[in-house]
Amino acid sequence: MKKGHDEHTSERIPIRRAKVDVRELLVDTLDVLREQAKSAGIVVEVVVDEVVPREVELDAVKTAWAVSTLVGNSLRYLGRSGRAGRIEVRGGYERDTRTLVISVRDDGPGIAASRASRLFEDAGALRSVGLALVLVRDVVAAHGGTIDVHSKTDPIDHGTRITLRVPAR
Amino acid sequence: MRDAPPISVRFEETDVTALLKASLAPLMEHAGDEGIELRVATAGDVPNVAIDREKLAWCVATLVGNALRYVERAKEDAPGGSVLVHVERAPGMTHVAIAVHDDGPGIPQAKLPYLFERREGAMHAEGLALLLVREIVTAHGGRIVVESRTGDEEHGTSITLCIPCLK
Repeated sequence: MKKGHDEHTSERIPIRRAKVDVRELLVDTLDVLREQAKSAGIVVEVVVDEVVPREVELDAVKTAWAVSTLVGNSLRYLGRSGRAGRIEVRGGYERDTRTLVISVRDDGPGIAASRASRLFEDAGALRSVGLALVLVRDVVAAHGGTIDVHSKTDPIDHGTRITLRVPAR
Repeated sequence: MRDAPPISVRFEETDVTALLKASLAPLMEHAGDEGIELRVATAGDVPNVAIDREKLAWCVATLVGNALRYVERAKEDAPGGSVLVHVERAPGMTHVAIAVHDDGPGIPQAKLPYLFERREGAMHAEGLALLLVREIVTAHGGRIVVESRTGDEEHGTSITLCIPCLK
């Protein structure tokens, strides 16, 4: 359905690509969350592989928001478990496909398989937590990228890894 | 700089109040646990508006989430603060106003102009979401109005998303 709107309505949310230092983006973005995590006994670590190009064309604000949203979610679930935990944000690069790979991995309780497969889908997402993930999906898709969720709920071996793959330019 | 394909906005005619009551349910539960009052209220007849439900619901949830961070939690000897989401179409107005009012400490005047803007050199988790809120509201043809008071007696913040009515 089309809506009535003012002349200046863009009806689109722009993606503004510019050259971004990926290391700087990840470290700076997570600074605030790292402090929050520390007070909850949770360690947030950022690792950027050497193969990652120094600069990649991205919408820095939206990419930073997407990563901080994923880390924020991990923090929330780890925080609820009431125990110390660890979140690793890793920047990697697949040379053959020239793809930037950003993964957020936590050692939280994990997400049930039935839920993990629908985490970034519209269905049932009209509740506050799911809404952010749908928007993360839109941001990644607008960069031509994909999202992959891998989660384990075993009492011994548990945790979630969410991987964003974005074509690098 | 080169622009990539944008994020599309999918407009659907929507009862905003019903949408917000459903989408804010988890935050209401969280607020209740903290002894904070979180309500969604309307005034008069509010017409349906054409919105991207997921994106607009996320915008309001983000504003409410921020407000909940700053209002007082209940203590043994004092009730917690309050956050009110108020939806109305004022008489004669061509937009529906979705306002998030809180009785938190308020935002210093110096910070208000930058609340939904990118500050040069800034790059951290704080404030990124509000930039996205502004872009989503702009994509709806809407605008954002911020009012805040930081007095000892009178304090709090109101952030209003004005979304155009259907023509």
